[in-house]
Amino acid sequence: MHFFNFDIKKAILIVFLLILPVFLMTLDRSKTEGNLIFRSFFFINSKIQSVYHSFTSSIHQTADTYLNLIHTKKQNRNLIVENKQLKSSLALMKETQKENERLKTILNFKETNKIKFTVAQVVGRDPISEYQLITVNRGRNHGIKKNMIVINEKGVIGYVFRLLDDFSQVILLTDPHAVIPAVIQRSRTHGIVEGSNKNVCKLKYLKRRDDVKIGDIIVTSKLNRLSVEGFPIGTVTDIKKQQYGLTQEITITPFINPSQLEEVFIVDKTSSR
Amino acid sequence: MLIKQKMIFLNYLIMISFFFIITMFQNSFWPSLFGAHLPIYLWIPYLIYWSLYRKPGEAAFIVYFITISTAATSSLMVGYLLVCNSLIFLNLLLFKRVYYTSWVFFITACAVTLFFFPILLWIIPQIIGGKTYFHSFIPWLTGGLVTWILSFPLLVVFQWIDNLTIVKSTERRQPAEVL
Repeated sequence: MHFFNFDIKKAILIVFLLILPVFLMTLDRSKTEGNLIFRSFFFINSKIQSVYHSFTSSIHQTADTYLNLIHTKKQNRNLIVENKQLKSSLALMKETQKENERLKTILNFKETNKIKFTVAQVVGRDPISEYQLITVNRGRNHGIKKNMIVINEKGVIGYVFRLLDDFSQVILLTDPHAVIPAVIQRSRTHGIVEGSNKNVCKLKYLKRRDDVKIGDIIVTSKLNRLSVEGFPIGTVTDIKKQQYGLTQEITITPFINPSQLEEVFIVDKTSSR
Repeated sequence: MLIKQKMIFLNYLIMISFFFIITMFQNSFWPSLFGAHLPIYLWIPYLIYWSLYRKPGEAAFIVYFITISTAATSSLMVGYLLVCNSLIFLNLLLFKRVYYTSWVFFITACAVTLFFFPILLWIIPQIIGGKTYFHSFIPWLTGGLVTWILSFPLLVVFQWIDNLTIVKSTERRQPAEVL
């Protein structure tokens, strides 16, 4: 009849196990994550992830090399034709550039911000599929700072969330904890993009009368000195207005596919000239 | 006595190293092969193994260890994950009261936990008032199923490590000893 025999020490352990998590939940995220233990785990995990990443990338490279060889001849022919077309376009572009420079001088236009892109590779993903955090192989040593916007060729991916010397974690804009200030490109109405599930985001805090239409493009707005405005986030796919209420619920479909990320660009706007 | 202590220390060292190997395999290698649509939760069989075959104190330490390590690579808050893992552990403590040493018991515990884990992860923020995520049904089932299939080879490795370093893991705890 061991089923009803409880050991007092084990009972205390159980109570302790139940109470401490509740206490931890009340703590601010920054208090738990900034400590040495948390950072040590982040460091060890990142190092092992980079080993796995180099292994998988070598497999991918071998497979890609083989597949590329098959199409190289055909591509080469197309590229020769394209190259000729581009050469003729380039001559025209040079003329346009010169004209542009001349006009800038006339208008006394000064470029105040210089945007720098740091290329990073995705080495790890969030272990819980419902949350979306990626680990990339660039960190503080490469000039990366917290809250820097991360993009790819399609649009905004997210922003830098945690930092180590050689690695950083990027929270994707589709993660429920992601918050990115945004603006509707057409009407210049400001709002906040929040992640809601894997495929869509929500544009929040827009007034009921604010001008928004389906198909509008949402771009980043200025958050702080590290972020850059004007990068495309997604398009408006649904607008819901309650019968009563001050705001409207806007659904955005992002340009990026969160499950297909391999290389990303971290945007640095700090340097100026 | 000293040799036994050294062996226990070695056991902990290998088990913890193995934890990092399997979880980073899950976070890095697996998504690069199968994408983000087929997630696996390899820390769950690990947690179950410690909860079933080790002393409650050791298992409690592992609950915290797993939680901090997992939270370090996730955007999920430590507290939520700790509540989930603690509830799994406490549930397994009760499960152990009808304990038998066969591998079927471990596999059953894995199946039940893997099925309920995403539900737990969804319910807890609902109760506490945190942000919840829409859980897609297919990744939840397929991911759980793949992890469940992988849990048997994992059990073999865990037992091999234990046999290598300490006494047979299944002999370490008898039904009378547990809670």
